[in-house]
Amino acid sequence: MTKVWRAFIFRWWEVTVIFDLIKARLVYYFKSPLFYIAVIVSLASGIYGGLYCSYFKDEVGAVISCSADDMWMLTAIWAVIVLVAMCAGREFSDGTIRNKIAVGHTKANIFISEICVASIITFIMYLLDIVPTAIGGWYFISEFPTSSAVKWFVNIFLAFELMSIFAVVITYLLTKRAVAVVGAFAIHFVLYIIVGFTDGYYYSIGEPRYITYTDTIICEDGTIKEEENEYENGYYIEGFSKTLIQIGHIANPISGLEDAIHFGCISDKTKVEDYVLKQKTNRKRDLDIDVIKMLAYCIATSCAGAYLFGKKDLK
Amino acid sequence: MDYVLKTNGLCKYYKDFKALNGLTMNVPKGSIYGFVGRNGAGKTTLIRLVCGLQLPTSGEFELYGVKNSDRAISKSRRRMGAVVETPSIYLGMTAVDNLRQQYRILGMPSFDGIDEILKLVGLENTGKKKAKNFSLGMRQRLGIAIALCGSPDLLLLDEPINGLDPQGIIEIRELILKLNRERKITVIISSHILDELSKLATHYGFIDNGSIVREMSAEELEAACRKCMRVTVSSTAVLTKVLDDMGLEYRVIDDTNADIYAKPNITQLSMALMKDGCEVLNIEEHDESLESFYISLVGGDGHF
Repeated sequence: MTKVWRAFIFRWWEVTVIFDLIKARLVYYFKSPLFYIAVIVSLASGIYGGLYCSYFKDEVGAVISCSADDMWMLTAIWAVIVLVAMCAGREFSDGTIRNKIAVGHTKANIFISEICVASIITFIMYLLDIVPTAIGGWYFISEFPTSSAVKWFVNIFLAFELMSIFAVVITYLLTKRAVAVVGAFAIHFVLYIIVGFTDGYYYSIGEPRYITYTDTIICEDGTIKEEENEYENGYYIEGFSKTLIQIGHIANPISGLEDAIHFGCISDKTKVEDYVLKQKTNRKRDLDIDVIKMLAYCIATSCAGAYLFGKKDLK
Repeated sequence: MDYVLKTNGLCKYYKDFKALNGLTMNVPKGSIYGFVGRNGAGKTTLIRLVCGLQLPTSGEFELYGVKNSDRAISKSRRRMGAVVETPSIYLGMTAVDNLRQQYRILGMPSFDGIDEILKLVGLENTGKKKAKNFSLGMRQRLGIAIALCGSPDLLLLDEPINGLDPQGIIEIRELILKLNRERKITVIISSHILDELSKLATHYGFIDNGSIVREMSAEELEAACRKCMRVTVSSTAVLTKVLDDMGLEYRVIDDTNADIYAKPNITQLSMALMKDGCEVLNIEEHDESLESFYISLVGGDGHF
């Protein structure tokens, strides 16, 4: 019983020391000029996203996609990557991480506290980005079923969070700020390019080789007639390519971000039911699976990072 | 005797390179332990292991009686402060902010004592000046100030006087002596500047190729480095008898060599030895500095 009690007290002590580390790191971030630059960038991205959505609000029949231009989100994510990698990397370039280890903080606690702080900072940047965008794009977000809207917000936050965790892990393992920033960016770009390529194909898996569309034709005498025509499906794949695309898309940790972006695409804002039906039959977006997947990636990357950092020799 | 730090067969290998190779040492409580060795001997590696920056390949050490493999070593390290290689300071913050950060890291309930620490290290007037604008000496002192947060009773200083001017060296030396005498802080100071260490250390650990060659107190070192006459004779047994008769202090090294801690009359000594059939082969004046003592311990190329 004494052993159990002592183990409990030790665990509680470890939790309280993590809070000390988190507090110290937050103060560091709030004193860093880079934090305020990231705030400005995230807010600017959010305002841009909101204005972009508002601009297309009254265009009936046009392709209205708040998320088709994903720069409103990506810029903020880049700001988070740079901020987190530079601030985390400073611990190694200044050597201040030694001050923590020398007074008894374990590497695991230091790493966990850095992840926690990065998550808090990421959430702040996410709010600065998503709130103005959501205000400007509320006309289409409000059309989503509630559960879909929640998943949409969560997916985007998890994309921010995952990139922030990647930045922390890479920085802590490489211990060099500049290399870590480049590395985190490189990972983000590669994943994003891959998902941009696989996305269209992935959601077309199962579609037939030829798809029938109803074309609206205006005749010479002014009458409108509808005609059914068969077109070859540009996204049709089979065989090894199909397997590769499936694996590439499912395994990609930020495919959820792409899903969230395209979940916002509608062709006619008045026909949400048609849109939802089309999403289910053609470009179904598995937002709930994406949430679970990205959450799993966040946890797995954090655990792997903590383990590897614990084994690393520091100077 | 109470020991703050005890190592037992500590080894650290980096692939094929043995940075520490069975290092065993004991640091007495309340001492200023001078850790002496050439570049690459393993001084910094040992400090990194004790601080927890790296894990030993094999062997163990005890800090305040707690083994390094015990989880409670974290609590033992709370009693410690360290400056490893370069001072670990937030360059974008002032001296006060740096200490406040360390207080937060330690989970201290208030910022009381910061002014006192800054006054102790001579940085009380830095005001809003950021650490990146400090001189090297000021940064070293700030590093020591950060290490003093939380009132440690053990301080590990890795070559704290590297790169300092003479005034800076004097200031650091006086600070270390003050901390040891007034606050009873045990100090482990690694250096390859032997003359400076000789003004500070109460105990020495000589390290070479990753292991301790010799541990001794300052008194023992002084005795070993005393000015003397080294005589080489055919039999030290006869020599000792003659020296006893002459009332001279001496130390026998081996069967043919002895050190005489006096200036005897060479003619009288030689004649007395000849009477008993002992030949005098060589007489030379011997004045061992700390440097030459160290060279005699480790041999050859010093690389200081």
